[in-house]
Amino acid sequence: MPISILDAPSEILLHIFSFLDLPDLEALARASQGLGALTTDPILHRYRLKVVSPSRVSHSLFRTGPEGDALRPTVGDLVQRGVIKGLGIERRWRSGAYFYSVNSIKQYENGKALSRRHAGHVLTLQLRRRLQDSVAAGNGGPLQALLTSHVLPHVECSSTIIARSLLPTVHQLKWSIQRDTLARMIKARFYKSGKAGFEAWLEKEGRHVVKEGEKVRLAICPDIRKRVGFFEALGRA
Amino acid sequence: MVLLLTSDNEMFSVAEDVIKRSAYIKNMLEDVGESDLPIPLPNVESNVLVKILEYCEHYRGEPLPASDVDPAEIGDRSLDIADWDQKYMAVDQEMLFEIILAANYLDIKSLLDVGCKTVAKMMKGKSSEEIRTLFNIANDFTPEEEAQIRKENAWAECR
Repeated sequence: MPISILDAPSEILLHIFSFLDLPDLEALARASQGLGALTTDPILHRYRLKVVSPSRVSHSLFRTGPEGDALRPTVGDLVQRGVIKGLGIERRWRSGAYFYSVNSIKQYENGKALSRRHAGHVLTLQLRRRLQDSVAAGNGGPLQALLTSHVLPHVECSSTIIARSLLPTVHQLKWSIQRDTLARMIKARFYKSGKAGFEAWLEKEGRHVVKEGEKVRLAICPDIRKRVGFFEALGRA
Repeated sequence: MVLLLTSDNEMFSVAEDVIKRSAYIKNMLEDVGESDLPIPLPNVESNVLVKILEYCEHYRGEPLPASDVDPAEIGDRSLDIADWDQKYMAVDQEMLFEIILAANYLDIKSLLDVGCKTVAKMMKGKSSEEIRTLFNIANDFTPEEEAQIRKENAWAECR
């Protein structure tokens, strides 16, 4: 059996690969699975970077620009560019302290979330107020154009809890809930002093509210209908 | 003189300053001292050892590499090979791998480097298909896997 490159131990193959750069490694990876597994070896690539990039690394770490200032950005630069974010990093860095700890990260994140929520609340309030104003002012409000073009949702539609298609049903529900509470309130007030309370009220203050008539009388004492019918028949006879 | 016994039971008698290029044998000689017993080399055949000895003979006068070289040190990574080494390595593939394996076993760093450089030079600039035919590798990817790899490496195609 002829000896093949794949029979060589991995360390020799890796030694061979260490003379190659990415395009050749990629071709090897596509040639066979065994070779492909070797080409992703982390130590090989560490080695490769050491070979390929010492000049690049030293350039970006230690070289200075034309004005004599280092090309590598300082922590202050990074903070100003928004690459590093956090709680007083620049101040801590300038005073030579550690500029992060687990607590400071948590505090920063929480502070961010809180301020975002606060901004959201303020915005919601403002928008709602202006919308109500513009609705109240008829067509005069400054947001009327936005409202009619549906850029801004209607006050009631702006709820995220209820789907738009359910709105009519919700309206009806709200209306009947209000009616029920009103009825319950009236009942509670008038049936408080026994069963006669309502009738007594009807006799006195309610006289003006409920207009007496055939229908009311029938509603109050339904069994009178028979007697009325009996006397009417007598009268006809 | 040092006696070497290959895997096919052939005895070689070599001058000490020739074979000392192999760090393995050099260390062994330092540890064991003078001895009339042959050193067995169960991983090396006689025809390969002849070739190895040819290399050691050629570099006989050259200073040995320092033994305390940091293994993490990045050596010469260019693929330049000296003229004599190129002629020396102009052998068939099987012999080339045998030389590399033996150089690895005998710990002859310069020879191992030359061998690996030669193989790397053969691989350089080849497509995966060419590498397969060159080293007689069977394609062990299924067509689906191949398509997947091609998709993953699409970014590398347009270089």
